[in-house]
Amino acid sequence: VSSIISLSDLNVGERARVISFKNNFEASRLMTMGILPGEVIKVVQKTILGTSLFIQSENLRFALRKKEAASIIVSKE
Amino acid sequence: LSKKKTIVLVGNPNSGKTSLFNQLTGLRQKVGNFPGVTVERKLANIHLEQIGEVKLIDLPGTYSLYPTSMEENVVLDTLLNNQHEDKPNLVVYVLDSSSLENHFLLLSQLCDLQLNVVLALNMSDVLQGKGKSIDVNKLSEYLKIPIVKINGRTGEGVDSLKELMVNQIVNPSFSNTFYELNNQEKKLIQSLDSVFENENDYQKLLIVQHSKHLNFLSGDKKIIIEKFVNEIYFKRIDAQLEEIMKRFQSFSFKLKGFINQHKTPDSNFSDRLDYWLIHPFVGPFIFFFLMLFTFQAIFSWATIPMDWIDESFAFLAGFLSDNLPESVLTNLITEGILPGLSGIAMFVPQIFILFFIISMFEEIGYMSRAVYLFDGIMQRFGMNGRSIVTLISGGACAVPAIMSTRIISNWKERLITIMVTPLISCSARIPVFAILVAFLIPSFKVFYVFNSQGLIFMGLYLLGIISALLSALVFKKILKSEETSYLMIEMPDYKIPDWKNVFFNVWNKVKSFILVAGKVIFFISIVLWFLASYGGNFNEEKAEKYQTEAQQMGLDEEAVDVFVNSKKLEYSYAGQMGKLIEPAIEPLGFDWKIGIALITSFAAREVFVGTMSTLYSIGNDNPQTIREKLKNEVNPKTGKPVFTFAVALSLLLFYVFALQCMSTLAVVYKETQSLKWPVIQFVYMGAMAYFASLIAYQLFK
Repeated sequence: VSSIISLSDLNVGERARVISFKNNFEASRLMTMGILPGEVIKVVQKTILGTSLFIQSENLRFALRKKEAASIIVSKE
Repeated sequence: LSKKKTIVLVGNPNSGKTSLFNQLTGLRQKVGNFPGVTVERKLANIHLEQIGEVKLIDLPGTYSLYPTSMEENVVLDTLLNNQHEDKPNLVVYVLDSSSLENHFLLLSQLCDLQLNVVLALNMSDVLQGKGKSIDVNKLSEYLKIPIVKINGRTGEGVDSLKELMVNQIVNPSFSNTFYELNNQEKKLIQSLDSVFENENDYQKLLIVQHSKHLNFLSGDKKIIIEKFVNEIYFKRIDAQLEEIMKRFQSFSFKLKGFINQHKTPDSNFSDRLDYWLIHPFVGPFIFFFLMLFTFQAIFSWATIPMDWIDESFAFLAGFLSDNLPESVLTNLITEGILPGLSGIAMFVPQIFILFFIISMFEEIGYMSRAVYLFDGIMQRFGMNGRSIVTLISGGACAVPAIMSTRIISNWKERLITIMVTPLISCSARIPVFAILVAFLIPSFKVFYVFNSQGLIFMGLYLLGIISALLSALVFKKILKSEETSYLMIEMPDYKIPDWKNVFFNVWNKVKSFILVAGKVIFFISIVLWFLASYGGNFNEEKAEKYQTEAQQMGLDEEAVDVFVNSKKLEYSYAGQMGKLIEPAIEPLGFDWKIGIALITSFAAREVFVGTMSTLYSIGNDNPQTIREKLKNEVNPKTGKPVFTFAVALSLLLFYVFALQCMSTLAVVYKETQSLKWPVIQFVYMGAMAYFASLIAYQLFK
């Protein structure tokens, strides 16, 4: 059973698979960094107010804003 | 004479490109800007066997030729424009071996542009640490371009790389293509035939994709491109995303086959360190501790070499004035040129220390974590996670702090940070605060622990911080920007700093400060010297008159000199200007003497103390003595004390807000590459100072 949500909805420690991007700008930037649909990513940490997320994929560690994370559609496994 | 060959280094951020550049160039490198933008352009002439002198340029790190910042745009501009002065004869692509797949995207684009590329596989030692290695032979067979393993830190493989570079320039070989244009894209560039000259297909596609942001395209061409793009319903961004997908599909699987896994990696050191460093509560705490250390370093350790520089220059000036014949030239050297040079040299220790620490944080990989931690809060004020380092360093000195904004890639966020940083009270305000605070409040204990004057000090600092943040909010509203603000930043593995990179970064910062900002500082200090030393009618006769007058007052020899000097300053152009501006500053409670001090302390805030001491014939710079003297000062017109509570408060507020620092303005000019921003900054801070002082004085007088 998988549920389709935004990356920003994940809690710290949870993993999900990237399905698509709602926003072209974020899509372009993240895909050029190597985050493509199909990639499994994990939320490693969030800042105190939840303004930014620290993410890890197989090949990359990166940070993004909550708003940016909200534009990534993922499926939680 | 054939044109000098150009070689560019291209790679992703964190690919170790800078290390390689430093290996190849050493001290020959020069740092400037790319034309029209404040993006750093590092360049050096290096020697290659057979070929001779070549131009080597380190292009900014980028993930792809689909730029999201000004820096990345520079790479695109250089590679797409056939007429560009940096258009390369050879590209050295630097790739972090442990991120082969991710760093391959940009390489595949370069290959499709049919550029002459050599691949430098950097950091194989890191990959080895992860229990893996790259099969270079297979990769080379696949790519068909020369490949060499290098270690940018140790210099291993750099000689072989140089040989390959020579070979590749003499006998270029090209890779196969990775991306086939789809039908719509083909149709598009065919119908745009009139716009293009001798570009290849992928180059044409990229020009169409980015036509709006390419400076080398004429307006007419842009219009034609736009027309056809609309005509065939070409969706730029969709095409771009599809292209990126196709590229990864074309090489991802293949590349996996070139990586040999020897053993499973140990648990990752970076992950363990990150547990604490990015911890939501502990992380910021550690950051502030590190910043406290940085602050302490600029604030107090730098004073040791600064005092040394100050004394050396003072000694030299004293020596020259004693030994050279008395003349205008001697005067110019000892009171104009030497203090000007000393004023420039005084900043070097602070710049050195701040950039040593910042470069170390960058090299270690800590800076991006700090950005992650503080991006949220800084963004509310229109700034960037990196701005917090600038603002905190601004508490020691705005000059190195403003230079540190180079690492903020979004122009608007960078500009806001530059504009508000001088509002943070710097160390040069302390001497001014120290003298004036005593007029506000006597020293006593509050709640048994706090000193009353210390609390006022803290209040002044808070006022600076709050006004900086509020001004940032205003700038956020006013300034327009087409650049999208984003975080999406890679967090590199933690590593031991490459000291070479730290050294060159510090070296380049100090050098560019002296060469660019130094010139301005030097010029202004000569002007200020002239204003304070010359004036219409102070001559020998007057000097003698005041000397006799002072002697009649029964002053000793030293006091007579001091008295004559104060009269000389009164008669100087600066003195006349002080009197001239008196009507404007009278509502603030300032007389013409304070006016003179305001003018001379434009050199640097702490000059206020020296000028006051000269004007009131105090003869030394001891704050205690100056304070006592000022207390007894009476306004001859009103018969009331000059320094009342209201005047002192008004002056304090003036120094909290006003941009009384030519060096800051010089650095803002250097960093923004325009006169517009330093002028706006001077005016807005001046206006804040004026009105704050006006209100305070009128309320409390």
